[in-house]
Amino acid sequence: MAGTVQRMIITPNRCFDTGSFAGFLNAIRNQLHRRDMVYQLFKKEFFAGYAKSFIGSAWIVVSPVIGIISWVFLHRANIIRPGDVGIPYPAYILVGTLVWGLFMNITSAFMNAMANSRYLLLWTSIPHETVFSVQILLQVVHFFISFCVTIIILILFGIFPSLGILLFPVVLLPLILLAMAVGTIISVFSVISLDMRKGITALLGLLLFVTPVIYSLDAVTNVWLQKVIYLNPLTYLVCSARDILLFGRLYSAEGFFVSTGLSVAAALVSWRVYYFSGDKVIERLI
Amino acid sequence: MRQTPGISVNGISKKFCKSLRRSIIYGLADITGSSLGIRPNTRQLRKDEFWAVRDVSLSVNKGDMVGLIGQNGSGKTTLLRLLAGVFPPDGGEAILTGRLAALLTVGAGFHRHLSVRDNVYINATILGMSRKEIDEKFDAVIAFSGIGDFIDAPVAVLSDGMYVRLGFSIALAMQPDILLIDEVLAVSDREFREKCIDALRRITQESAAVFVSHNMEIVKKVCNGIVVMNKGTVAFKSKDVAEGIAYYNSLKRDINKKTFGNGK
Repeated sequence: MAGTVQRMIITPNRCFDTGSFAGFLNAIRNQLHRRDMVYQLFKKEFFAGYAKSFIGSAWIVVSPVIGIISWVFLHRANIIRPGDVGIPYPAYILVGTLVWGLFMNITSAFMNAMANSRYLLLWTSIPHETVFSVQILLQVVHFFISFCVTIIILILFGIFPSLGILLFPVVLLPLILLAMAVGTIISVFSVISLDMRKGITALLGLLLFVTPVIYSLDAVTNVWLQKVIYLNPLTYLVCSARDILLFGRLYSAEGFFVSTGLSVAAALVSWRVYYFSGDKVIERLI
Repeated sequence: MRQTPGISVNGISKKFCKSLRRSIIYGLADITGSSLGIRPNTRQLRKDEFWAVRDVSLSVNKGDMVGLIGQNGSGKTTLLRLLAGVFPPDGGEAILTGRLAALLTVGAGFHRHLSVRDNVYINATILGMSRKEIDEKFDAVIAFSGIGDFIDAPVAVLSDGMYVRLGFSIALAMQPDILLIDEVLAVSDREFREKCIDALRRITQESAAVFVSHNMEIVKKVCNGIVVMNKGTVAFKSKDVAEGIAYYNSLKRDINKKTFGNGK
């Protein structure tokens, strides 16, 4: 038995008394304290996903390969005209969709985190932010595996990553932060009403086409589309991560830093929304 | 300073909304308001809201196991969830001192396709144990559950009864200061129930526990205090368990008479 006695005080609107910054520190402390649980839940999600599959974890390698084959097919069939991308198109697509996939996977994992963990949240006394910690661990590990596969395929194509690969994790951070922020806000609102999740899911699918991931900006002739791409923060976050890996430079330094600022702001807002209303959301999971 | 483990509940209340559509509107309004730093007024009922738990006060000290009984919908599970910190109250206060184990369901977090061994670790960490603690108690958990032959089999092959055995054995290994149990022994066999009752009696000598059950036989055997809930409020509270059960039975008769008449 622990030597110190824990004391839990339960009152209405306690989050307002604590404040969002202290609440954030408490949440981090809780997660570190319960790290064994976070690890066990992560392990469960990671392995259980493949437990009933014949080829099991081989899917981690097979999925990106199928993805590339489909894009290359569309390219060869002249359905996609990507413009001059500077390197073989499959390699361009491979790295672009890898980074894009990270954004989409974290957003969608966070978006569904609370609703999918309904049972755990309602029937156990785990710290609620655990469901998000498990998801971020899961997505980062999945991404790391896909990243290793990507690098191997790139080398097979005869393309060697630039030294910028060392900065790759840092350049990815604002993208991860933005994905977490968007996912958290949708997660909170979608428990109350499904409208937001359905709307945003449709919108996220559309975002791929206004981010130069599967084509180069030169290929876009429509002025309005150019403007949307120019104003889209994902353009700078996704393309900078891709370009730092392939060419050792940022897509646009100015755009990248402005988008990083936006990501940090979005993350702060999302924490505030989650912190002050997360409890109210959980009672609506009943 | 070391404080005595226990639960102190003072006028705790919780409201819910009966209308799904209105619940969406209230939810959106609450989230928007809260995010802007506006503290919601939780003390007043809005249209279609009702008190699921209202002004409940009770005190459970070390060595007490309080039986919480009442008909379905009387607020027992909501009260337990409030104490477990699942969601916050809309009024009142509760203070829990000590290490908490909330057994609101058995086998929380179990995954059907993972082995019994893996699931013990998942469930025990959810309940609040560390990996080291589970390593030490693993053999005792399996021995108590009596399912040693299935240790590396997926949980999916266990029967309902074996599932409960495993879940309950993990919770009992935790030795908490505060134990909240919600009707989890229902599907286990008589022999295992007796074993659990003995174990519960041992645990509660050192802890404060609240035990929700519809099985009056078990309540009589393990509890040394009783609270009867009706329509979200405490209708009866006593140290005399038999008296509490008699009150509950008379309450049930009254309600049935009002609902179905007296047959004449």
